[in-house]
Amino acid sequence: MPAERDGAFGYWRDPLFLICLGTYAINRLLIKPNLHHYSPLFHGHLNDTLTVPVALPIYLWFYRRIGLRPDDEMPRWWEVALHVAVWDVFFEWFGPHYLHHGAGDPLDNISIAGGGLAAWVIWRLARARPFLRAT
Amino acid sequence: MLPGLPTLAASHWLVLALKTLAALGFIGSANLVILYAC
Repeated sequence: MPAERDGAFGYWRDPLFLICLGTYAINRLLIKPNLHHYSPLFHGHLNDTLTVPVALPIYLWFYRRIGLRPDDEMPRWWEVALHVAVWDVFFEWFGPHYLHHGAGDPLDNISIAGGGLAAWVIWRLARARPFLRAT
Repeated sequence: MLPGLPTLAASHWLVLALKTLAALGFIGSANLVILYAC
């Protein structure tokens, strides 16, 4: 197994995380309050798509802090896939059925997984291009 | 302490179990924040 490089992933300093967090904030504070009709994109799917790029770096940062994550590599495919699976079950099944909050919709699952796949591809590309990484 | 099990190994597994518990607690709490706040 090749040696892992340290310092590759910036967690809360990651450019993709910061861009997606900004997108979420703009949608939450500027777009949604000014919409007069329900919009499936701005009220639902956009947030679901941003779940992985916004939430995963924070989760991985916590794992790193407590020593469960051994290095600062870019998020691995199985780290993305495992969290997508947990979030799909939690937000689309556990939340609606047991907490009576939210609504299970297969499109939400597709949005979360699609956002996760896109984020993983961007992180893979950034791994090979240091100028796309947080320093 | 389990008889025959080295102290180091036992403490290693104990630490790993505590870290896993901490991670599960974080995951549950953070998921609830996302569910209700977003």
